[in-house]
Amino acid sequence: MSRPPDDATLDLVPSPFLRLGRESEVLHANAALLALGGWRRDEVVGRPVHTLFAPGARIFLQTHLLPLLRGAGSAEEVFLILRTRSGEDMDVLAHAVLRADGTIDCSLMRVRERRRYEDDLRRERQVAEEARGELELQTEELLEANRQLEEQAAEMERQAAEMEEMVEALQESDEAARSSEARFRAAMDAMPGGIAIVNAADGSLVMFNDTACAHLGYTHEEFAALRIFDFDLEWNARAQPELRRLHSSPDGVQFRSRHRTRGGQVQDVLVSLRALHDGHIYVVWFDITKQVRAESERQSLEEQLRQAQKMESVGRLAGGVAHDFNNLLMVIQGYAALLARGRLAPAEQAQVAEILKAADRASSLTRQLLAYGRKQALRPEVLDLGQTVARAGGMLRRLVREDVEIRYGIGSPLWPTRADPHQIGQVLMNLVINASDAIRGPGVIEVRVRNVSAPPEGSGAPAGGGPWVAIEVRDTGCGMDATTLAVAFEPFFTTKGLGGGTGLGLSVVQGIVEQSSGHIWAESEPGRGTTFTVLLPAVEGALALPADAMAAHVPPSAGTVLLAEDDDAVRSLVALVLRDGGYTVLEARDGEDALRVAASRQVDLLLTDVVMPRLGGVPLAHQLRRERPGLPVVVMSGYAGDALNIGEELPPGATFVGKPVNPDALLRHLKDVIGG
Amino acid sequence: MHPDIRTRNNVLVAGRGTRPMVFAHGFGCDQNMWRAVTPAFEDDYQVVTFDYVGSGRSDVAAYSADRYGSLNGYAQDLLDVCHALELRDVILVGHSVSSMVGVLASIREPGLFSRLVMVAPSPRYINDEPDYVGGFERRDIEGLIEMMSQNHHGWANFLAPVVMRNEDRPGLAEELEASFCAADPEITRRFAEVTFYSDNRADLPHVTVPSLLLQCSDDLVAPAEVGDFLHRSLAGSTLVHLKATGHCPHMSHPEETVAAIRAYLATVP
Repeated sequence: MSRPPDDATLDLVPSPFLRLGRESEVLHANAALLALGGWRRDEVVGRPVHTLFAPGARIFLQTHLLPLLRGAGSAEEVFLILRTRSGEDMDVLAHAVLRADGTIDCSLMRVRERRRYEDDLRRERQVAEEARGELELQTEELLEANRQLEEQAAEMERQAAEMEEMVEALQESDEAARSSEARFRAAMDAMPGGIAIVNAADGSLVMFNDTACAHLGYTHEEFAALRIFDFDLEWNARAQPELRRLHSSPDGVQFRSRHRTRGGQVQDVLVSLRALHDGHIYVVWFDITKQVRAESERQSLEEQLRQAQKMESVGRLAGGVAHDFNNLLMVIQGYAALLARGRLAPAEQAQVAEILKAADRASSLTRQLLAYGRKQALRPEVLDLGQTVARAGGMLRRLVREDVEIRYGIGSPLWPTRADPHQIGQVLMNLVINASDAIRGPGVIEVRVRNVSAPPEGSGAPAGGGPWVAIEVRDTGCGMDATTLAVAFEPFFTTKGLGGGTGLGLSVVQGIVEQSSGHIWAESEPGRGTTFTVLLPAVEGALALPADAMAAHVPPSAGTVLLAEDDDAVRSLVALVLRDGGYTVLEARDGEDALRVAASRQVDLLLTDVVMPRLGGVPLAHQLRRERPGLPVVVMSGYAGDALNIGEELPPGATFVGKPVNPDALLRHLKDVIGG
Repeated sequence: MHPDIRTRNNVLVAGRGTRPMVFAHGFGCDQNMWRAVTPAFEDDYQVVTFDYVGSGRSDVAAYSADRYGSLNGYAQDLLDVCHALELRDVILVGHSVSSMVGVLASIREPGLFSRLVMVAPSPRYINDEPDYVGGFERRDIEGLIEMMSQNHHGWANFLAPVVMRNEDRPGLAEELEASFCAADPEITRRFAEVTFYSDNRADLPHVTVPSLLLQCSDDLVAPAEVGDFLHRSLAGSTLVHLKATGHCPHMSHPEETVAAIRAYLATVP
C-alpha cells in the first residue's frame, strides 16, 4: 500500500479533494476544494461532510452513499449537489474510495464540462442517425430498382422462350417460314431489349431487332456488318467459354457485360444466351447502366458515412482530452515558470528548465490534437494565399533535404480567401514534410496556388460552391497505392515506421482545412508521385495588413486587469502571474461576477476566458465595451466549443491568447495591448 | 416454510436460540448493513435477516410499483417473511424507514410481535409548521429525488462501485463486496419517494407493542426532536440516546448499538 500524500502535497492537486474521518467528518480539504466552495479552511475541517452539500444530497449521503462506501469500498461518478459558502448550488461528480484505516478519500469534479461533452456527443449522434436515415432511403430506392430489374429479366426469359419456339417452327417448315419470319421480326422489334441471333462460329449477326442497333447508335446496315465481339466488350472473356456448355443448359446462361456504342460510350448490360439447334445463339440484352450507377453511388455514400462517423468520434475524443489536458498544462507551465524566476541552485534551474521544455512539447502536441479535433480557436483573416505561401518559403526550405528542390507556381491575381495564416502555415509545413519524406534521392516538390471556379469531380467540394483558391503540393516521390491512399488522412496512420512520425500530420491538415470551410483530397499512383490539393473558399473583402506592421512595440505599463476565469486553478495562477508582473488584479469566476466587480472599479484591461457559466467571455466583452468604449479586451481559451471562429464575434480590436499560455508571453501580450 | 418467500426476500436464518429476532434494513441498502450487529445475538436468538423486494438479492421480478407504492407493501413483505418462517413473539429490529414498516405491521398483527426496536426512526421527514420538526423542507426531498434521478439517468457509472474492488480491504469477502447494497436505481429512487414523503404520525397511537427508540446524536436524517416526538407519541416506548453520530449507528458504532439493544431486551420478561 502506498503512503498517503501529505497535506501540503494535496494542496497542489488541482482538483477539489476531501479526506473524511471515521465519523465522516472532514479531516482535510485541499485548496481547490476551498476555492470551489468559497470556504476558509477552518470553516470546513472538523465539520460533518454532509454539511457541505445541499439538503437533498445530505440525505443521499447519509442514507445511501456513506453506507455504500463503508460497505463496498468505493464509488465512481456519483452526482451530488454542493452548497457553497454563498449559498449557491453547484453540480459535482464525486469519486470516493474507502481506505484501510477507515478514512475516505473523495475527489470532486464540476459537472458542467462533462455535461457539455455529453451534449456534443448527443448532437453528433443525431447527425449520424439522420445520415443513416438518408442512406436507408437510398437503399430502398436501389432495392426497388433491383426488383424492377428482376422483373425485366423474368420477362426477358419468357420472351426468349417464346422466340425460341418461333425459331424452331421457322426451321421446321420453309413454307411456314415466310409467314412466321414476318411474325417473328414484328415480335422481335416490339421487345424492349436488344435481341440478336449470332453465328457461334464467327460471331456474325444473323438477325437482330431494331432496339439492338438503335440503342447502340448504329444504322441497320452498319450493325449487320458487325460481329458481336465488336461491341460486346466481355464476349470473348465471358460468353465464349460458356458456349460449349450452353447446349446442356436448358435455362441458358446470364452474365453482366459492357457494350460499346457507336459513339464510344460504354453501357452496362445484362446479357442472356440460349443455344439454338443449328449452331446459332440467341442473345438478348438489357441496358442496366442506371442500376449499376445507383449501386455504386450507394456504396460510396456508405463508405463516406462510415468514414465521417469514425473521424468524428476520434475527433471528439482527441478534442475532449486535449481541452482538459490544456488546463492542467497551463498550471504545470505556470508554476514551473514561477519557480524558474525564483532563486534556485543551477542544478535546480536545469531541472525546472527540463519541466518547462517537456510541458512545451506536450502543449504543442495538444495543439495538434485540438486541430485534429477541429476545436482549435481559429483567428481567420482575409488574406492572399499567394503571399502566405511566399512568406512560408524560407521555413519550407529548411524542412526538406538539399537534394529536393521546391518550385513555386503562384497565380496572379488571386482571389482573397479567409483563413488563419498560422494554420495555413501549418498545413503547408505538414504537406511539404510529407512530400519530402516520400522522395527517395533527388526530387522536386511543386507548390502551386491558383483560382478555381469549379472543383473537379471527386474533390468532395459541393458542385455549386465556390469560387475557390487552391493550393497544390505535388511531389515526384514514390506515390501511394489505392489502399494506402484510402487511409492516408486517418489519425495515427503513418508510413514512416516507428519513431518516424506521429501519424497526426495529415489528419491535422484535414482538421484545419475543414474547420476553414475548405476541402482537401489527394491523387497518387505508385511510382508517379502524389498531389495534395487544398481548396479554400474565396471571399470578398479587404486584405489584412501583415501582422508585423500592426505589432508596434510599446513600453510596458502596469494597470488594473479584470480577470474572468471559471477554472479556479487557472485563475489563481494567472492572477499570480499578473500580480508578479506589477498589475492590480480583480478576480471574477464568471461573466456576471466580472460585471459586478467592474461596476465599482477602474479597469484598464479585461482578460477573460471564453466559456464560463452564467455569462461567457464574448458577451461579457461586448457588455463592458458598451459601458466603457475602448476598453482593451484579451480573450484566452483552450478551445471555444461552438464559438469556433472567435475573431468574428469579439468586439473590434480584441486580441486572443490560446491556452496554455506561458507567463512571460502573457505579460508581453498584455503590455502590448495596454501600451497600444 | 414457503420457499417462494424465502427466495423472493432472500431470507437468511442463523443463530442457536429459539426466540426470533428479525432485522429489517432501511432505505438505501440491504441486509448486509446488519453484518456487524447480528453475530452478537446468534448465541441467544434465532436471527432472521431479509431484503425487501427491489433491494439486495431479492427477486426483482416480484417488484410492482403498485404494491410498493406505499410503506404497506413493505410491511406486507415483513409479515410474509414472519408467516413463512412461522415465527411468534418476534423482536423486530428496524432501521430508519423499517421502524415505521414495523409500526404498520404491528398494527395489522399486534400478536405477532413482542418488541419493536427502532434504530434512528422518523414518522415524517418533512417539517410541518408550526409544531412538527422533521428536519427537512419539501423542496429538500424534491432535491434528493431529482439527484437520484440524475444518478440513474445521467451517470450510469454509479453502479460501478459494486464491481470495483478495493485492494486496501482484503478482509472483505469478494462476493459480499460485489453485492453490497446492489439495487436497481429506479426502484431505489421510488423507495426514496415512498420513504421520504411518508407521514406515519397518525399511526403511532395505534401501536400497542412496547418499543425501544435508539436516537443518534447529530443525526441529520432523524434529528433529536423527532426522537422526542416519537417517545411522546408511542405508548410503552423507551428512548435511548446513543453517542453514535450519523444515521447508521449499527454500521458506524456496532458495539454501542448491540449494548443498547441487549440492555433493553434484558428487561423483557
